[in-house]
Amino acid sequence: MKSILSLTLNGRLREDVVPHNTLLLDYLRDGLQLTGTKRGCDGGECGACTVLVDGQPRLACSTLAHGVAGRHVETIEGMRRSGRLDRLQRAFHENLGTQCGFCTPGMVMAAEALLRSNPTPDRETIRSALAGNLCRCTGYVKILDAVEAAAREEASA
Amino acid sequence: MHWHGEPHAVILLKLDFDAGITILTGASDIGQGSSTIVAQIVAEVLGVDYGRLRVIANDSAITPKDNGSYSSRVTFMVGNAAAQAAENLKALLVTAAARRLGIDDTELEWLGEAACPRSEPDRHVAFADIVEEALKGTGTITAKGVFTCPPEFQGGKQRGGAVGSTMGFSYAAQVVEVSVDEELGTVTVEKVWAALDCGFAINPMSVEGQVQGAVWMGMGQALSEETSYEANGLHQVANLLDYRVPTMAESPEIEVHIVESLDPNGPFGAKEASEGPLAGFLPALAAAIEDAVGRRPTTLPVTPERMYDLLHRKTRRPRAEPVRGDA
Amino acid sequence: MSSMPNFVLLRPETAADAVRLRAAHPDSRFVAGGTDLLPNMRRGLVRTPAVIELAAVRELDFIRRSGDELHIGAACTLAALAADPQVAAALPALSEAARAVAGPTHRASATLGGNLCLDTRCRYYNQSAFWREANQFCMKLDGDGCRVAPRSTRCHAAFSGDVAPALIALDARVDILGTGGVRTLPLAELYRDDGMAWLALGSEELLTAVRVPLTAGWQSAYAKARVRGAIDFPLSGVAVALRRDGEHLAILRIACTGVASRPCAIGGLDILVGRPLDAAAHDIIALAIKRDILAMDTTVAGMAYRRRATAVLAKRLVDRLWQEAG
Repeated sequence: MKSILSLTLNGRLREDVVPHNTLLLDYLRDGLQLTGTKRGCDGGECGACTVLVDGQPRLACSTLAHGVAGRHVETIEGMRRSGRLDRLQRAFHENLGTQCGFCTPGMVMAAEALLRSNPTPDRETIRSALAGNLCRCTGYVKILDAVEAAAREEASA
Repeated sequence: MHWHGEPHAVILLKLDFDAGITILTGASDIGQGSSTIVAQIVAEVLGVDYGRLRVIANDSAITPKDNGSYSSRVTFMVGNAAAQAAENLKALLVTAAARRLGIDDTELEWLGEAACPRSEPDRHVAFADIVEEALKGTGTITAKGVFTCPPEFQGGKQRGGAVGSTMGFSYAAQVVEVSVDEELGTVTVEKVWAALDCGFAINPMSVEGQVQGAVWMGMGQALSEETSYEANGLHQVANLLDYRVPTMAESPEIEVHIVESLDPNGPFGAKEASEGPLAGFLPALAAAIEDAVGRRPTTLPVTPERMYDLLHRKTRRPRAEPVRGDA
Repeated sequence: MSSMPNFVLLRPETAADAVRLRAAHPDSRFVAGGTDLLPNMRRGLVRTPAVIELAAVRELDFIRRSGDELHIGAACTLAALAADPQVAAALPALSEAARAVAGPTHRASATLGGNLCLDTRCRYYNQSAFWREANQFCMKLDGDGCRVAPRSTRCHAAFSGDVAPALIALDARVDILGTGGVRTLPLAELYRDDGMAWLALGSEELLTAVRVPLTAGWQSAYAKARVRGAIDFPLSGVAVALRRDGEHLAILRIACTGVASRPCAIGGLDILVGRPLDAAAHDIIALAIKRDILAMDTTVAGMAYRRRATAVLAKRLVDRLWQEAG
């Protein structure tokens, strides 16, 4: 069974014919070739699929595409600002918060959700906000450094 | 690997009319930074701006074969090959620059982005012009660098001796602070300090990142990650919920101290980084637990169940007294 | 790609419409946050021709005071519940339990109703289709026999939601909407001790709201035993609500999760009313817990640890709340 799915994706209105049983993750990756959002586990176990829906973090692998009809969805591809890395992406790059990069889109989106609601989080708050995102490379230390750096940059802007 | 007669690492450089240098390597950068390292080494030897370099890695149609990422060999062997390739390219460019300046090679001062006669420091020829001179008659220039472990480092006839393992060995020390919940058996790692003699740290931030990741991976092995099977062979923990990779919530701060030395054989004195910190976490944790509760775990991971059983078995050694400086 | 069953998605805008659709589609499933249902669907644990999406039923998303009760809609997210200052001040066990669920991103969309109706879990059930087939399935789905208790005639999959024990300890009631109207019952009566039929919810019914008494002088708290600090389900979860009158216990309620096929209120604690919290009282509590929980081999972490954790966490919470009330 398929219906028209209408939503805003990274700032642009989209209308696509999408089967009802399509996960948001598959709609993004297979339907729209937006492969920045990752499939890392069997469902809800790793956070690599984190996107934003109306500014809130959301696991795309545990969300039906039609479940976010009419909402504003943001993926890592939408983080770019005028062709340049945004402050979180740049902070991850400059502080080595990213090694293999697989967890990075999910980490950045979860951090973005945090900074929108709390622009000056302390390290423990960042830790709690990203506790649902697994990383296998960094041991998390430089990810925390990166989010702190991005928050500092934004605060001094 | 060691005995088939090929060098143990090969790097190709390509220089073309845009005065840009392409580094071709078979080494796989999966995030540990091997492409960064080869670029740093080439830039360091040639003295040119990073903007001139591009790295192409892992395209088996184009890049030279690399033996692989194992045994912490890449920075050491591929780095040495990259340094040699850059030296070989530099020699060609020195000759071209000298020819453009009308002097002998031996009179040339190489400045990286330029060159000049040693006796006339103000008479520069810019890199782009050096390249133009070098390409005359030959067009696109390629240079190669190789590295082969000296025979005394190649391993003997023992099983596994031919695998092509690294000849760079770091030294590491680690301190782990834990707290143990004696009623539940929960072990919490409060903080870790790791020191590493990695030789020369070509990219200190990358070394830190590697050490932190390695320590943390050791922690996962030591505390919560375990593979187990049903009697019929089915994997019991076949998902990321049951195979417990530590989350940020229980992962500690990891302070890294790089203690440099110079390995006479490594590129710029570099050795390798991170095998020591990974392996070191497990015994450091066991020692910390013993310091805390007087019992040393010998089976990993130290799950709450194993810790509880260790704490409450009948024979109990006296708790180790904390060491005091004024005792 | 995922192996989602083929279904039609229905999007009612009112609770009444949701229930009508459920009655019209007998094998349908409700979905709100989706953090339990959708991973289970991806593993082939749920087959349904129709899914009723509750995201548009705004009337179920509320937290409001009504007299001496707090009313919370079933569609209230766990994040909103955990962050609500009224809840944190008056019902700390509820606030702590909501905050303990999974990870922060789950909680941003996971709902109160969803957590109360969470599917029961077992390491022989929560596996891929391939794995389960290789293991000849089990009683809960597609097979016969219980893999953790081969001679058992019932399923022992464990209830694993964090919020239910907190609400049971706090004496909460729930509103259930059916085609015939609303019925209200104590939350504990919503559950049955059966891993396959753990919810006493009619096929056309929807849990719409929770009513929690705001009782002066109650201290409450929730503690969760898990290996990691996030994401994991409770290996054991304990909620305690307590009221102290001078040197005597006036009320003591303890409820647990993860250690039975339903969240269980610990019985036999009424005899402690009017008594001090001394060693003898603690012995009675420990015995009551031991009698009422039944941790089976449903998790990779062992049963002994879960039984022990339940007793230890209960004692710690009771002691702490007793001190705080003094």
